[in-house]
Amino acid sequence: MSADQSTKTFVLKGVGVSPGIAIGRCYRFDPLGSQISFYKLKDESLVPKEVQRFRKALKESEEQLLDIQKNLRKAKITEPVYVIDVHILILKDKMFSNRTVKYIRDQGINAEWALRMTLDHYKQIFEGVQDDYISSRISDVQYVVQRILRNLTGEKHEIVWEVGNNGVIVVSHDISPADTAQMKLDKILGFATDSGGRTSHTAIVARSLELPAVVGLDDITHYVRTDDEVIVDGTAGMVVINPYPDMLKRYEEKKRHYDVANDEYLKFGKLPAVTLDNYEVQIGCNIEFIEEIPSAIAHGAESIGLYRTEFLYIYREDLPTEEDHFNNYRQVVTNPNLSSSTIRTFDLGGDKFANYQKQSKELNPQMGMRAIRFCLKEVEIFKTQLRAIWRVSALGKTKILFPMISSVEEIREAKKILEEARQELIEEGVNNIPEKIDIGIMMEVPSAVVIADKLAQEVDFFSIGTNDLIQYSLAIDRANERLTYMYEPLHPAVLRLIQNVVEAAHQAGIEVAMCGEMAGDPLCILILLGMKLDELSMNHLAIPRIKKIIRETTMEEAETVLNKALSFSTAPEVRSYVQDYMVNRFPEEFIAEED
Amino acid sequence: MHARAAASFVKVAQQFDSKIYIERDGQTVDGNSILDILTLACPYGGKLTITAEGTDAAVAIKELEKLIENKFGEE
Repeated sequence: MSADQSTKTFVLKGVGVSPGIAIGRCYRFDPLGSQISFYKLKDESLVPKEVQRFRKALKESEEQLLDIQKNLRKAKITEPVYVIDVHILILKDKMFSNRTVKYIRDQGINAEWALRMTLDHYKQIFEGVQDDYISSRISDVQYVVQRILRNLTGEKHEIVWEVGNNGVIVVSHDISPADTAQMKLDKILGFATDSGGRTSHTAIVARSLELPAVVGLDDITHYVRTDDEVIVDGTAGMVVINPYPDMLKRYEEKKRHYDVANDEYLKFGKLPAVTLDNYEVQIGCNIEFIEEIPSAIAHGAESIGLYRTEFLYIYREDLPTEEDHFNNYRQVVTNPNLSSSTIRTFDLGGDKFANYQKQSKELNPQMGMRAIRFCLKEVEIFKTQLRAIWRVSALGKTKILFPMISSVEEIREAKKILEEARQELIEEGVNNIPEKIDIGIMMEVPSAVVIADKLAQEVDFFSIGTNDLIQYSLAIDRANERLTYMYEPLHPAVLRLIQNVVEAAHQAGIEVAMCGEMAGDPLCILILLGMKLDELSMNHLAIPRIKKIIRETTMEEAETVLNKALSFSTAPEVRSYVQDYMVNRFPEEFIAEED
Repeated sequence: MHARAAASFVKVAQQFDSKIYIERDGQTVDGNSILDILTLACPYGGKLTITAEGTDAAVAIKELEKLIENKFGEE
């Protein structure tokens, strides 16, 4: 492509769902090619042949989907395979095919046109349905129509792997499991899509392959064509189309830094987090999807310190079954590279459950009927998850973590239900249910911190959730942008709360972990080390750097920094002291943030 | 009805020669058509009437009843 005047640079902002920088040529993945022609058949004698052509495309589509389904099952991808079942049943739906055939016959039009009319017909019907879930199922019909059209036009397969030997950046409206099943994933450098969020299929695939991805770009497909130069910055959530030379150079430089830093740091990931004076901290990783486990381990996670289970409930219409839970958890706890896995019971409000939506409109959901409060009310939903956790605990070292505990009564009630779930399993004859499981609570509500000594008598470990603890204790709504300046992990009150939790835990002889963002913040690491937290659990990318700093310091130094930090009365004083200290002491670790 | 449940229903219904119908609020649809069932938009906990006509009607009804009792045979 020549650098002509018409090549315009576009910068689009979306949601970065998988970090890193990818630079390459665009491959516009469009399941529905734009070269579809609609025409009237020349005369009636052509109708039977056209109907036959349509039926053949139906058959081919079905065979392809069956193939994909088989491969998905083999690959043990956790995406619901039933979606493809639904697509196959639509293909085989007589109402659907008869209508299309009728359009071909009655109007003497080609199959593409008739199919288009059938789609429009269903669009109208689905739009008329009150239920949002049902009306959005038109996307399934659309998907099927696209596949048939592709077969009609003779484009048998998507051709991602035939474009460019250096790999491509896949740009699409959205990407479904069936799409990725057909792509040569090793030829892909990154993803950019119009729709989607952190839990969309694109995001999950990108993270599991450690490829940069930005989703939710709204209309990138309108701006970019196959073979355009594209930069995907998954860390910043940005995509640049046709970058001008200087910009491209800057990004290439940035990418090189990123890659080198990554390789360099990965070495530290493999080493234990031991200080020079032999104090060891357990380093865990926070995950949301089982696909994240390989990168967690590659970056040096020794355990899963926080497995968030909310994903199992979101983006689906029905409740996850005990088997859904079990199948996911099993893949976490049986991983031989992890010393233990902490499963946190779901932290969701009623708004995520179809049956409760109406009654659960809350003014302040952050302080509403959610997490353990919701679970103690909806015991049956809660028990489904608890039963699965009991069952996997027989297969590998499992810990259970209850979120948002604010009183002793709540944890006692949760433990009672946990034991009931165990008894039920035993009564049903389920084998190998252990006697006991390590029980922990999230320390994220200030009242829990104040009575930490009492709570410590009830459980086996604490895990400090700094994100919520900071927002609740400083009384700031994290969603309120005007207050973000007040969100300060180094606020003297926050430091004292954390210290209080650690002391109460150790006095009672139980372990204490931290799984909030603060645990992976290199700026805070000496302070946390000085407090003697037993485990720090963080985003996988943070692990190598945290380990590196721990390995270059001593407990003595950490305690000195902690004591000095605790001596200040204001947050700005603490921050400026810690920042100066860390930048001077570990210049290499803090330079990168300057640019 | 949810897509997964609708898919399970159609898969069972297709095993029989009998014609199977689902009725809700006076609207009747073909139990073999996933699109029809979806657009019936039966909410969770909603009431449906299922009828079958044909030689294996009795067995069909029994199997479909079993499916619904098992909450659509979640795998």
